[in-house]
Amino acid sequence: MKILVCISNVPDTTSKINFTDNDTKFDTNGVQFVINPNDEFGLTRAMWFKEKQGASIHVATVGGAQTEPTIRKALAIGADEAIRINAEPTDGFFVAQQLAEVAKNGEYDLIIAGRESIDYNGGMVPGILATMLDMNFVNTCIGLEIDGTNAVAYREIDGGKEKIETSLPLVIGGQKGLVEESDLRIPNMRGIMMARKKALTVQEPSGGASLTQDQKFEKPAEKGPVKLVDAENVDELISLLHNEAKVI
Amino acid sequence: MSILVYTESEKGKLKKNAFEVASYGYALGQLMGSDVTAVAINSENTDALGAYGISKALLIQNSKLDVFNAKGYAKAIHQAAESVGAKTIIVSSSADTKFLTPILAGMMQAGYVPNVVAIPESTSPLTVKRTAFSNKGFALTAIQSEHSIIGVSNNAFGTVENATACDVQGFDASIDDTDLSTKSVEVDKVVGKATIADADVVVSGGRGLKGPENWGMIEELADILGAATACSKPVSDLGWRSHGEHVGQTGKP
Repeated sequence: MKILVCISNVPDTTSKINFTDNDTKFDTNGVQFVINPNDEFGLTRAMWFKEKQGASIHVATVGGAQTEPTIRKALAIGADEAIRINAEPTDGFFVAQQLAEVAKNGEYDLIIAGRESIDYNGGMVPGILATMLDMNFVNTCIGLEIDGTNAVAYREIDGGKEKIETSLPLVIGGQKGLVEESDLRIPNMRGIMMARKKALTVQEPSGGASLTQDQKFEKPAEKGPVKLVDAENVDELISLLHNEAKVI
Repeated sequence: MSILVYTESEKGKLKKNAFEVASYGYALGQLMGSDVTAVAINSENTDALGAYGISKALLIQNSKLDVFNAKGYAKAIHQAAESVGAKTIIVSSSADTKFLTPILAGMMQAGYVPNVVAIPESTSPLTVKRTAFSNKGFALTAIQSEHSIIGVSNNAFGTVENATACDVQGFDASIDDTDLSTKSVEVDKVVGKATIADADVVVSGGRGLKGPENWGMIEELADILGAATACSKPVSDLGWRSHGEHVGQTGKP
C-alpha cells in the first residue's frame, strides 16, 4: 500500500497570533513552526500501516524552503520520502491542485490529510483533492482500518460517530482520535540521522490558481478577566448567569 | 445573479442551522438584489423556511439520499445550483455540511470560505469576515472565482424572521450508485441532548474537576440550561470525556 500524507507547516499551538504589514500578513517573528496537529495524527496512523501492513509513506507539503525542517521531522518520524512543492500555499483550492499533481504521479492507494490546518482553518484540502482525483473521501476521520482494498472508517459527526465502509483508493481528512495523543512520536536521534539521507524532492508548482485571497486580518477583542464566585455567594452567581451570560 | 441556500434536515425535519442559513441567504439577497432559492433534501417541513424570508425552495425527494452521503448530497446540490443559475451557495457549519462542501467546491470550481461570521463587507468581489487561527484571529477574505460558497459559522448570524409564503417545488436530482461508494453502516449518536454544534449555551469543564466521576454536576447544569457539555484537551486526552466534546485548536471551534 502506498500512502501519501499531506503536511501543513503551521505555527506551534502555543504561538501568539499577531499580524504585520498593515495587518495583511501573519507575523512569523519569533514563531516556531510545527507539523499541523491534524496531519500529525494522520502521519502516526500511516506509521502504524507501515509497521503492521508494510505500507510505504511519502509526505508532501506546499511551501517555501522555510518549511523543510517540518517535513524533515516527518521523515525523522518514519516517512520514506518527501516532496515539497515550491510555492506559497495561498488558498485551499491552490494547495489541493498542487497535491493532486503529486498524487497523480505517485499512484497512491491512501491519501491522508488533516481535516483542517490550525492556522487558516480552511478545512477543504482533503475534500477538494478527493474530488479532483475522483477518489473516495471520508472527513473528520477518527478511526481507519484497511484490509486489502476494503476500508472501514469512523467519522466524527455532531453528537456522535458514524461507521463508514468504503474502498481504496481513498482520501481521508484526519483528526484527533485517528490515533491517541499518547501514540504521537517524538523523533529519536537515529530517526533524525536517517532523515538526512532520505529523499526530499523539490518540485515547482504546476500552475493553478487561488480562488480566494485573505486581504486583511484582525485580532478579536480582548477577553475580560475570569470571574470567580465564592461557593457561598449563590445570589451573585445567579445574577451573573442571568444578567451577563444571559443563560438563565 | 442567484443565490442558493442549502438547508439541512435530519429525520425529515429542518435543523436549527437551516433557519440560520436561510436568514443569512435572505439578508445577502437583499444586499445583492439577487433571487434566493433554498434547496432541501428529504425534508417534510420545507415550507417553514418562509418564516425566514425564503419564498422559493427546491425539495429533492430521493430514497438514495435517505442516509447522508457527502458525495451524493454534493452532487444533488450542484444540480440544484445549476438549475437556478446560482453563482453563490450558502451552507452551514455542521459536520455533515463541512464534509460535503469541499466536494461541492471541487465540482463547481468554487471559492469556498468557511467559518463566516457576518454578511459580506463588499459584494464585488464578494468579501467576507471569517474566523482564522483557531479563533485567535479574523480574516477578511475575498472570493475571486465565478462561483462562491459561504459557510456560515454556527450561531454567528442567528435566525431573523421575515415571514413570507414559501413555494416548495420538487426537484429531481440524478444520483448514480457510483456516487454512493462510501456507505454509512452504523451511527452512534447522543439522542435528546444538545450538541456543541447547535447549542446556544455550552457548559465546559477542565482538569480542575479532578476526575470523570465529578462530571455529574456539569451534566446536571447543562441539562437545566438546555446546554451542551464540553471539555478541555487534557480531559479528553485522559479519556475522562470523548474526543467529540473537546473544544480548542485540535477539537471543536
